[in-house]
Amino acid sequence: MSVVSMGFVLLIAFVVGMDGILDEWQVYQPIIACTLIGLATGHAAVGITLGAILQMITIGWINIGASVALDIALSAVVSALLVCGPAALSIKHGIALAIPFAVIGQVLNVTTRKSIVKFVHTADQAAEDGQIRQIDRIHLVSLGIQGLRVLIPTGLIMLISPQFIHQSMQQIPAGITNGISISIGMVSAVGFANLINMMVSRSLWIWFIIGFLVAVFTKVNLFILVGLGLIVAVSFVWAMSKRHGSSGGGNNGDDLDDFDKELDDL
Amino acid sequence: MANNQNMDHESRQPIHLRQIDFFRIFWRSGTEQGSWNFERMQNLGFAYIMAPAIKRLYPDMNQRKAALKRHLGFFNTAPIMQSLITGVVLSMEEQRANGADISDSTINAVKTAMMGPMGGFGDPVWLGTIRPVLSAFAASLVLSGYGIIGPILFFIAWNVLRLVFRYVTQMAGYHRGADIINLFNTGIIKYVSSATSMFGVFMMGVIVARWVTVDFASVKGLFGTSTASQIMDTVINSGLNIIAPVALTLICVWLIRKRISPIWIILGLFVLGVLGYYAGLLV
Repeated sequence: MSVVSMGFVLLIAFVVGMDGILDEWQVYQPIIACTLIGLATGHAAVGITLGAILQMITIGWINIGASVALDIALSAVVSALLVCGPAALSIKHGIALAIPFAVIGQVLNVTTRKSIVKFVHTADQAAEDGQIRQIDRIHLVSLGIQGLRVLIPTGLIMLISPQFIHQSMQQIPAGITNGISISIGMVSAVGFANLINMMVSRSLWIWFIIGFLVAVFTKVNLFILVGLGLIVAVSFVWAMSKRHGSSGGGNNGDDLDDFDKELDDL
Repeated sequence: MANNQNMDHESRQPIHLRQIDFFRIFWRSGTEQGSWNFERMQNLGFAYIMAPAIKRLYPDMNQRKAALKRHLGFFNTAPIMQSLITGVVLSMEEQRANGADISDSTINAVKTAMMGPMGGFGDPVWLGTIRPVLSAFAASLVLSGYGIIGPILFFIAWNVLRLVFRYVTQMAGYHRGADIINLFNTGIIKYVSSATSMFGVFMMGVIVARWVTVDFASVKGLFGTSTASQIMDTVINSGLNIIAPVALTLICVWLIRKRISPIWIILGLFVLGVLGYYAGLLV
């Protein structure tokens, strides 16, 4: 790997690490992070495919409230580096290795979030002194540390000889590799289960079943199903709100207008 | 003390936030979680976002210090929904800077009153529905051969939605002020979140059907080689292919509700895959 590529990979690792905590630009989602690493190492096509497969596995790994989920940022970057970089692992090996790095990333993330408490106390002092600049600086340094959280492990992986990584993965018996590649289709169920656990209340199961049956028994593509789902959900709730509104009377017309506007915003 | 402040304010021009401040705050709002910590969570992030406004509104050092301290208190909500809260707080801070009788505890009460509902609304909508649907759609584009169009589409669609939503809600919060809390009572939030969760859950059914795969070795000649038994084989095979993904997903939901950590479930599935391969059940 050329020095320029290595520089780009480290830069991407840093940006992905920052976005992983911010959860804003979604650069850290595998479909984008792996694509970027693929572009940096000159193997874009493999990176994009790896990203898409890893995306389906990590789709339900969500940080809700104060909980810290398995880490997507580090696992996407390292997995893409090992597959697209000089170690040239197969996609299934890359995905199998993404899992341990998701755990390492999670531990590092929790540690960083704890250590930033000290910074916050410094910020309290800065507020005491009325120093706005200082508060800005502390915030941005904390953000930078979250970037380093992914950059440093990625840099360490780069120090290991790619031939060594490649050969040690070849030592794994074919049976285990094949078994793992079978599991990849099943592992995405865990993420979906996590999402379902969070989203589905008793009254919503019917929608899950409808979606499942429609997808199984029609060969309609996803784009049309998205449209269909949106139309059905919006009209169902609109009908509900109308029924609710007519019994309540009063200013329900306004409410509905606002409601439609809100929907447009989304 | 309060009287003195009021007299000061009457004797000088009212201070207003400028367009540039709104842009700065909008830009900063994307970094809210940068200093997320286990003590007060997004507190420093919120203070960082408010900083340009505090600088503009409180030239007086004591008031500036008080404002900084006020916004370093505990704060945590869904990141994208925070712009609405910021907008409301901006309008309150502006009124306060111009002499209105708004106390620290009033501002804190509004922040606290909004962050819970906004978190409960925003996380399922943005992270539970919009992101999974957009990213699954993008991944499916990639896997059907559209290549880099997938990631580009995902990046643009998400960020356009997010940035527009953030700017619009920040300004709506600012213009309507604390009155916006009345919106919570009209049921709008409830309608929007029930529509999104219906849609999200429907899409999850679709995605599970299309993406979760359990590759059973196909059954052959289980009931001999007659035509009837061959039909039986096909029925069993296609039945397994339909039922297995949803059964596996529901088992995972059940395990997660039993508080078994996802990582153990994932490792378990790897073991299952290897064992199934050696046993010849999975291919």
